Amino acid sequence: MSDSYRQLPGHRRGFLQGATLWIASDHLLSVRSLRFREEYKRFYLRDIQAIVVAGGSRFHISTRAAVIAALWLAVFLAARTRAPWASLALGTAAVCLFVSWLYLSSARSCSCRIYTAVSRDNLPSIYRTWTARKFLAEVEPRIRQVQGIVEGNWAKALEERTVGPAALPVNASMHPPVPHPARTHTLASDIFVASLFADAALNILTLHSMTRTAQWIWYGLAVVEIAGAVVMFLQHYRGILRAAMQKLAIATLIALGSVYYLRQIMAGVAMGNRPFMPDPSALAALPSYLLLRQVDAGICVVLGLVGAALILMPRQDPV
Amino acid sequence: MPVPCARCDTPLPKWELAAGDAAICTSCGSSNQVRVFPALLSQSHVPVRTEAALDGEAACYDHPSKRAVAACHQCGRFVCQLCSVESGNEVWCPSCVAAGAGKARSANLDASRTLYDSTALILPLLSLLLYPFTLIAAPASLVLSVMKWSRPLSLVRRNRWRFVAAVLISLTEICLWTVGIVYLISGRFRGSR
Repeated sequence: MSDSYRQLPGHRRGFLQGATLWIASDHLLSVRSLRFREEYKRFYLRDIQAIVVAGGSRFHISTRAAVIAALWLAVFLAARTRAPWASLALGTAAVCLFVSWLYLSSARSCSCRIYTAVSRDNLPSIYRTWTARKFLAEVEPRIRQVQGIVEGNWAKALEERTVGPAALPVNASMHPPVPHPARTHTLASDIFVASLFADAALNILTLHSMTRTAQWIWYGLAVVEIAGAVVMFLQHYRGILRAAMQKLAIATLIALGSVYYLRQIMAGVAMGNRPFMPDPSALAALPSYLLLRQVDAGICVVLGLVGAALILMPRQDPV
Repeated sequence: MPVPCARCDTPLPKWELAAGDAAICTSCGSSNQVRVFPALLSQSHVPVRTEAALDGEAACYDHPSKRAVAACHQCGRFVCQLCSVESGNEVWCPSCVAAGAGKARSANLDASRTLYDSTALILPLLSLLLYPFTLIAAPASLVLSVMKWSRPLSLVRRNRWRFVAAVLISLTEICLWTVGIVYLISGRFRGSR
């Protein structure tokens, strides 16, 4: 068996997950990337029964699209005050980019599925029509080389045959069936959501009178939130906790990091060269800092409410 | 069952498939391109049947009552039809496949792999979000890179640039911390004099 792989057309670039397809001498390799882990599934060329590509909308935001959006934002922020026409040009560019994405997602997208006698799997990396065309153009001759060509009217012969596995659930994919469904919440996620509300309450209550003690409590809550997020990542990785809570933890960490940096910048501007442990009462007097804490409290409330909704969401048992 | 739609699993109309390789789903309306290969038509889905071994016949190592059909290319054990695992031109026994022995190991039959190089790279970068954490993450990434350097990488990516980048970024962060700490300490000493 050869282990040298060549990449096939199609690459799904997600924020947390990605997918690619590779071909070896005798099989296709579907690779699902989970950032720190890769899962593989092999489809031997001699076993492939059918490949079906169905057109339809796929509204996927890839990391490449996110990079383009970030670049646009950076250029917009840099150029809007320098040239009067820049805002208009960049606005037009943004509309064009968005319309292009909408068009590609709705009219030039597809789903691809591959069938063998024992499996039926979606190929997530094939989600644009031109990619599907290139993929079929590369793979079809290789399969025909191994299996030969279908003789006669295959559509008629299909009446006596079954495409794919006979008794497999409808949406069987690369994931093996999970015996126990992941939980909507755990003790860690409960503490995490409670700390979000506590953070919001602390921000609101000490909005105009920030003391050193309140600041240390705020740091303590931040540590609880980070620790809770890490535990939730591990629980999700082990299949204990649902993905929604993990995503909430990611959003919280991003918000926490952004607020932390903005606070450092504001402290640096206000205190000059000693921003490491700024005087909280002096910081609290700054209008921009006041606004930042209001925004922080708002974000914490929203994230906390989302967390509470996820906790209260009814648990769905597998069918 | 005819070919199902790849979006909604509704069977595609046979008359359209008979006319060509494309069919419109009657349920969701999506246009399906269908490629069918001989494996579908030639294969009859009957379960693998092992034959009973008669007196004097070679029997399977794991199923002594079943007739052996091949010998494992790794360990030489006899295997019945049920136990034989084919790969290319070779037949392996389930034990050798499970243990990843000899060529079974080089065949890369892993179902998943942990990407230590990506972990080592993301650690020092992600910790920049809250930069004090780089104090822990940078050495952790450095240790991870050194310890896992020789571990197998992804099945499809063969180079170790992520490890190299992780080491460089971690070393930079450690150097910056060292410089910062030395600067703080020396500044305090200057201030006290």
